[in-house]
Amino acid sequence: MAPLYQSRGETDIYLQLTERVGVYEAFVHHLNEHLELTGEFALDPTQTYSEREIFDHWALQQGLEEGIGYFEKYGVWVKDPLPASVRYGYATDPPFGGVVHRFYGEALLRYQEEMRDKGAPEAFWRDYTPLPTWRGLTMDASPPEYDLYLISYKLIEHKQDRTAFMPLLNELSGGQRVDLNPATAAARGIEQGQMVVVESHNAVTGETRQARAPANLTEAVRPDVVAMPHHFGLTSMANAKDLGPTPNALFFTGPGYVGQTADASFQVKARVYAA
Amino acid sequence: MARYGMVIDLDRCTGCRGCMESCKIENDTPQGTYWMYVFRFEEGEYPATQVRFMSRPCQHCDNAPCVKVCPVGARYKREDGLVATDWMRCIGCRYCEVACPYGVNSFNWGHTEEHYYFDWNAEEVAPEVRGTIPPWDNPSLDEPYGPEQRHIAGGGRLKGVVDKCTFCVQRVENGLDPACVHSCPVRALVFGDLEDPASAPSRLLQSKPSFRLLEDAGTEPRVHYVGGNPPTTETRQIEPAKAEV
Repeated sequence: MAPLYQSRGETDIYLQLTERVGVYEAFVHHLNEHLELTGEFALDPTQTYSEREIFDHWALQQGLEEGIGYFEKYGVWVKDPLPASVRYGYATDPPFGGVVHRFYGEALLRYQEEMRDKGAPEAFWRDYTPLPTWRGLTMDASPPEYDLYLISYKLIEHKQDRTAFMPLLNELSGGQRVDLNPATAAARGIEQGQMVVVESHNAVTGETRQARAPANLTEAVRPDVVAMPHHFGLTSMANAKDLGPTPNALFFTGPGYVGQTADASFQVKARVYAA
Repeated sequence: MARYGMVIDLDRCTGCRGCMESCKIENDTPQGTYWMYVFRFEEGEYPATQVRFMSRPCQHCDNAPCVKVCPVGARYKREDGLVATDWMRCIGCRYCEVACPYGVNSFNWGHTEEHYYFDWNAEEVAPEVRGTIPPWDNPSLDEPYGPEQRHIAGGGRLKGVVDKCTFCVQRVENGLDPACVHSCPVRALVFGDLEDPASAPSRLLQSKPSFRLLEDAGTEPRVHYVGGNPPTTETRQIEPAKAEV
């Protein structure tokens, strides 16, 4: 929809800003370059354009005779299928553009030996292996009472936590909740809407962390999983307060969970009980 | 004369609730009031779980029970199919709310300015917005509409009156689709003249099996659904939108 009343689209605002600071001509050249506008479809730095006109030029340049009106009429423009080589490294010639990945890392072995010899705990050096080496997941070393996999996820109403200050969106999405499968909840005596504690466990340090939020029972969650959306609890904006805690605080960084050898393993085990 | 209606394609709806949001902005409805509501439904048990969605505006019934019970003629059926509420005439008896089987009516409990999302005149806000029109203050809602020239557009205009979805009469009379239709990113909502077999909603209606909500009630809704089934007793609502009044 068009911007309402006295509000304007961001491109229109940028255009006016560039005029005011005296870089309009350069900005138009920049648009021509990045939208690949040439010949009769190139934008003229001596003229002013609306956002719609700019994208109309782009659509015409793409060969759409109706210009931007094509998208208003049809929504999307379906182009020809892309060859596999555009999307997949193995389909290029040579595969992956000829990039060769190191298989054996002698330096990693030296790091491991160095840290071990200096008395560092095993959690710090065990992932420095010269060859790709499988080991069990850190979280699986947590005690059995931490029987749920904790995941965080995105709600369709929000973008990260930066939109949680908007009361209109919060009204649509509700605040923080703890998603549990009904069978999982029943086994713990937890009912829909009941305040619960999610407690995560660090299998390396033994540290535990807690967050409280109302239970939300849904069959869309696996019985061995507890899930929380990640939009709430981190922002400092006034309108975003009182929407519940962030699950980010329940995850651990550090040895065993995030290492310097790209062995990131953010998953943690957690338990849930009535608050 | 065109007789308007809406066809909702449940195959396309992703439950994003963008229609709810654009309705609120276009019609200035107060906090906690949804003229358009998107139900999120869940059926079955894990792992055979299905989640589906259903938008529900006012059904603009041809045999509207809300019109029949209004003691002052504030709720009336227009020739073009829209069911309208004259908020200048409404006395707030709420009979329409009781009569409607779809639950689409909202009662305004407080003054308008107390129930919007920001106080545009608040001390800390006023210097920033510098007298601009608040994004929820749509000037076109103050105008009278239709041959009757009655005040039927917008929500939350007066304390103690009832209002509901108008199919965005202020847009329709200016040749535009309702806000929910215009903003739907997947074109699940289609609006137009249901009497014209060549109109977009008529063509969609002819292309798939369809149903209307509570067909047995005899209300003759002008909102049709294609690409899905009506909710059953096995259907559970999940993620209800949280009213903050």
